[in-house]
Amino acid sequence: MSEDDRAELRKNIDNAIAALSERIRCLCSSRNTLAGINLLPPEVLSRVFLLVRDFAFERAPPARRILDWLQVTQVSQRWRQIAIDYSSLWTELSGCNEHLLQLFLSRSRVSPLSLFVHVYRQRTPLCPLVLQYLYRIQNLRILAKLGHWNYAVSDLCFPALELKELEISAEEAYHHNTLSWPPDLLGENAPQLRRLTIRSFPFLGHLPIFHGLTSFRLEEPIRRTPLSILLGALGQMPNLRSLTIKDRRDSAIPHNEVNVTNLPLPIIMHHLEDLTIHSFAFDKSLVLLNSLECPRSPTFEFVCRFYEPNLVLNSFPRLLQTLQRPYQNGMAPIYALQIGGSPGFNLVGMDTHRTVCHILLDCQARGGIPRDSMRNWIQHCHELPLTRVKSLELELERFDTSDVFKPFGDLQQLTIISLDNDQGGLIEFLLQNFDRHLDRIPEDEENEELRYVDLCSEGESWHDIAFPALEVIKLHRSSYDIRCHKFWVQALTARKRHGFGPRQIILAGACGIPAEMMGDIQNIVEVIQASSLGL
Amino acid sequence: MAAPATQQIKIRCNDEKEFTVDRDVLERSVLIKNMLEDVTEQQDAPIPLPNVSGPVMAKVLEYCTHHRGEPLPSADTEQSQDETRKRTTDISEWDQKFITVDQEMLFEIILAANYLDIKSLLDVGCKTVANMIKGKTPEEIRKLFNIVNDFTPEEEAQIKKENEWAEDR
Repeated sequence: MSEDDRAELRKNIDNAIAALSERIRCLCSSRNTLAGINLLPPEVLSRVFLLVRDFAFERAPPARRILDWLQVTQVSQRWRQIAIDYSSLWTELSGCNEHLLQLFLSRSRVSPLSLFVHVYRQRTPLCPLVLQYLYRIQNLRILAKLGHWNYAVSDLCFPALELKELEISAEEAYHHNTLSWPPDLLGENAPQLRRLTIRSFPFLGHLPIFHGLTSFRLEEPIRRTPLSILLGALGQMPNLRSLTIKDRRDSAIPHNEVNVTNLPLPIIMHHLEDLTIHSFAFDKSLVLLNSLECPRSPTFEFVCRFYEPNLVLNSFPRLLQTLQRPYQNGMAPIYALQIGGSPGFNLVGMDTHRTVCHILLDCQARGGIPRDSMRNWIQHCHELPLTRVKSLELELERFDTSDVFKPFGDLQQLTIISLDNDQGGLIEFLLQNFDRHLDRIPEDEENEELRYVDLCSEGESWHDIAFPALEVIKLHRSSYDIRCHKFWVQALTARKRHGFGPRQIILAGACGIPAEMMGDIQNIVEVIQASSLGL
Repeated sequence: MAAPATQQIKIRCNDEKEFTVDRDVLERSVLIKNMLEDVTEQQDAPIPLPNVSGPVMAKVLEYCTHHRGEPLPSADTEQSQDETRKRTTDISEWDQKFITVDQEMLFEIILAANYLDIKSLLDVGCKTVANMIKGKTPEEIRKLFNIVNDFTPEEEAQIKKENEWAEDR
């Protein structure tokens, strides 16, 4: 057979293979129509996809969020087509690089967009995106370090016709007075703007685009807004439902006796429901409170935190009803608790706001918490109504785990443990004391330490733990010694038994997997050995 | 004076199974609520529901009975949820137990909730499916739902490219 004949025959066979492949693919598609889930119409399946996306943004580690939800586009032709056709699925642009931005922008078609940009890398493609698509953005949150600030915001002078929520935060801006707004913010044309948060950034005062706000939050540790400008601006926001004003803690210390005898002009807020004044200068606070008039407001909850515990707020004649919540009160059950720690570790306040309660600690400096301070805090805890706490959020540099958990007998959910060094044996503690499901241990990008642990109660005992949602276990440094092995060995065993569990284990530092355990990790998709492992 | 008796409504499913249910329970379904509002005179004939079978309707009614009296989600609620970006995959304990059924029944319930326009039940169903999907690889999802890969080579190439973009951060 000549070479030409062979080439011709090869071509014919290739064509036959291609035709058969296509035929098989078509049969696969037909088979897929029989799957139960494919009985769901596109509008229902796309709703499911949206939930998967939102879940990824709520819970997955930042680096995996997009990857996680994109999986739904990679299951079958039908799923992919439904996902691509559903423009609302492609509107969350946070974390996209340039390629993905283009893809998402084209697939989102004309749907309103949502974007959070942390401008700390030069490669963050904020400016062109914001400028080009500002007209379509519904939620825009910008966090920028000072050096990048002008790059981030100074060009925000184009109309934003769909914008509903704007949040602008400056990092490391405490000692700088150079921050400024663009001359015509949003082209003075943002008719849908309802929620505005300004953090560590000077407030401009009233602008016509703020007239329709329903929520306004101002945190201003630098260049404080003169009270007259603030009052003037609030007077032009008649639809506010929620107002939060926050300053540095030391600003709340009253220096002089304040006696408001002449009431200022009233600021009428028909719809105000929540007012939080946090560490705002006391004299300013009094003037503000005496200015507000809320004639139609129903039960009005006023939360006020001041540095000096003995100050008692007097009546505010223009408020319909004032419910003052000083710290350490026991008026309402506390369901969730947030704790932050530092060497100062002063309990400065607590408020109950709806069902969430925060204990606020002095966080001016970062570092380890002395044992004594923790004990003091534990004493405080015993005085507080903590037995109904269902959710606990900890952010401590160092702590003794067992001490921390003692007061929380009914704890059902533990979120965000942030720690640099597990002095108290967190993993050991969890193994011994919690009948909980470990949901995930996401990574922390910056420090590459174990940073977060989420636990969700499923009502099963620890020994039957199945880790259905656990994706990544990341163990670092020698502090996670053999104790942590117990933890992931449970996870691995569960995977073997139940068929699910973590797909990726990242080990670094002195953490190693004993050889006898290797049999158990065969179902793990990926084990990344960072260094010096005993594999 | 005795309180007026709750009106009872008859419905008939596609397998001829009939249920007699309190009106306020049935009115969790916007479809049926609208039907009832359109009918001015009391009728004895059962309302036909050609897209729902008896066993599925029994489950749906179990849900509606448990949640009777709760406010129906309005357009405002949805809008405010959207504004605050508070969509979550959390499901209440009772709902979770209720929806612990096999896949076939789960999808039937979702279809019925969609047809009957019971938004909260549709939400529970969709969240359950989303919870089943989250964190899984495409292959794991296929296995879970008995689906096979039917992508063309071109689509596979595009998917690979998108994955690379998503990994490049």
